[in-house]
Amino acid sequence: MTVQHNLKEQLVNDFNNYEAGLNGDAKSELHRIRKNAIDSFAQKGFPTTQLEDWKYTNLNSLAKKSFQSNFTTNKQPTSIDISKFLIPDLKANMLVFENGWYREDLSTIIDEAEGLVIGNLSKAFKYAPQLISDHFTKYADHTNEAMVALNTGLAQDGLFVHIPDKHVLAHPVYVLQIANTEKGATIASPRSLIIGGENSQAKVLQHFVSLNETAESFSNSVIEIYAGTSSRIDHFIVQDEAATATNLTETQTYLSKQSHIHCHNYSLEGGLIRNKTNMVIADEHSEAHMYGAYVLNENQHADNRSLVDHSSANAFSQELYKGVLGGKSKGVFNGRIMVRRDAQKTNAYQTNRNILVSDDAQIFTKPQLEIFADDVRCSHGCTIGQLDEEAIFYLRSRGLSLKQAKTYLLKAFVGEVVLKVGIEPLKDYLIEKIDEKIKGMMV
Amino acid sequence: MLKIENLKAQVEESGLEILKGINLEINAGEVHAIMGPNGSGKSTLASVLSGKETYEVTGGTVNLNGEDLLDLDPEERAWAGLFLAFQYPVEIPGVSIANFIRTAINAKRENAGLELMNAKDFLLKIREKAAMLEIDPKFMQRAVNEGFSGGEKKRNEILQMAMLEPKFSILDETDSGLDIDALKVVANGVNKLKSAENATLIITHYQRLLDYIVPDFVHILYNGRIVKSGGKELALELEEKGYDWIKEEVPAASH
Repeated sequence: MTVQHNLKEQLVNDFNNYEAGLNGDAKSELHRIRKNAIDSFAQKGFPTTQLEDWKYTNLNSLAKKSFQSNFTTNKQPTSIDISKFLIPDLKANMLVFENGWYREDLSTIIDEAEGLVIGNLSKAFKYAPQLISDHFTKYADHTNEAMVALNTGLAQDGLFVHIPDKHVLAHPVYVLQIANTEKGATIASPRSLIIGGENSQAKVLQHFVSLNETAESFSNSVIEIYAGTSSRIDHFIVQDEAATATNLTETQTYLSKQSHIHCHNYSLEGGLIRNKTNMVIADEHSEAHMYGAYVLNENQHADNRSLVDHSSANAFSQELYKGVLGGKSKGVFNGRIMVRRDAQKTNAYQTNRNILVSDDAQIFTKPQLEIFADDVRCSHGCTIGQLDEEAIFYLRSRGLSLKQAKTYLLKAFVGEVVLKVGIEPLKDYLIEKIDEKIKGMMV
Repeated sequence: MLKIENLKAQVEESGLEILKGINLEINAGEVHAIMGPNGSGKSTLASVLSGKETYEVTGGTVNLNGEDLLDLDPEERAWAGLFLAFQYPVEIPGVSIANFIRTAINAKRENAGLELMNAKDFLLKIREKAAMLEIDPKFMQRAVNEGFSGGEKKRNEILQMAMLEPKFSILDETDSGLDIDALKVVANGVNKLKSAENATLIITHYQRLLDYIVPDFVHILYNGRIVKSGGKELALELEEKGYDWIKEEVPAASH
């Protein structure tokens, strides 16, 4: 009889062992937060499908496997050839992270300005204590959300971006999040904190990739984004990992007065993917935009959840998510819009459209509108369907083969979302990646 | 160019026979018009010729330049030089007209083993054709038929026709829902594209399109058969007397 591994106990033990090795640092405020978070995780454990939020994403088998936690960074980092991951023609501030740890040796920062910080969290903990104390863990909920708690407990490093007031960042921040399992199955806790000052603007792209697929990788990521008054932050997530990868990403944003946040999410490759995007509209005249596409094949699973919390009046939110599902893949979309009592004159729109290209693919889609104000405009629409036969015939009558016609229509379908990407090289890259994947799905 | 012999077809699902033996021959350089009341089988004929799978051919032959058309898939018919201007063109959001037409041209070229048309040559050609058809170049950047008016949709069909340079074109109720200005633009385009090497079949309920595109021959389709053929004056006669005239004149054809 085999004894099943208990990942929760293992990770809590790992934390305790790590804590025992700390001396004076164990008394720091940062450690207190981590300790509280681990306690919260220990109490809650991995989410089960009993929870509405995790109804379709089952972590049960994952929670019985062993994953190395990595509390310390490798003193002698191995060389990694990152060239195969890079997005052609993208000129950016590039930061490479390996299993959540910053690889300064592989990173290049090109933009400089007074007060501008593009770097890593472990450094920011030391050199930017005020910004850390004002913002770190202030948006993502590590007391109620088990996976946020686990990330908060385990994350020792991560992305830190601070755009000072009135600064418009010249180049995007390109974050390459590499999962490396050469030493066996590994859990990484990528953490990000992005702070946009008043009237600032920045674009941040996080690209999740796998260096190898010999062992399972488990990335449990938390991203906190703060948009100051009249600022604009564009955040992009591209998930392109191995079939052996699990990627859980929680994005928590905070919108100040007149600020705009655009969150994009593109799920291409990876075994199990779950994204949760929470937009908190904290003040008036702010705008939350969400775009996403998932193109799934084989046994892929992608669960996309969003919550727009309109807690202030006169704000706008809109969401457009599209999915193409082939093979035996499974997709989930849950879009929740909450309009609180004081959030009068709210405009909120949401659309989710799906096309199933195989008989065995599944999609579960659910809009969820909770409206407590009486003067609002809210709408939602979700569709699940197959390709339109009339449209296929139209294209064939113009000389496209059946396969070409289907591929072309699917590309156009997803294209509506991808065309919203405001970084040209990224847009081209995504179009090419998606074209390639859709072609492979048409057998 | 096109020879239809005793063509019979039914609705695939219900088995209802719509075309009951059509005979028609169209030569290069000719413009033919098929007119008929609602339900006579006009649009079914267009669909059957272009290969729509909702209809089943139960008899007869169709030959386009020596090729047995009924044996071909819709895309193979396009490669063979057939073009159908749709009565209800489909909207394709997310694709520009330019991209769509270039894809179509290159699909045909790829099949013929020809070199693909590059972006520069394509642009020159589409600009030239747009100018000829009096179409604003900005039009080509719009998503295919998305939110188009009736006139814009038909203009797009004619632009595609101009770019794909088919040997044989079918215009299915191209005049339906068009105001007089749009009608003139479309008719003007068809007239300019006419040559000694191609042929056109216009399917219409009303005579008014034939004020602008003058046909060499007019055929009246009634109850699945061509019951009367003549010159352009037949359209005028029909306009004057109405379809009841046909119904009375050819009761034998209806059963």
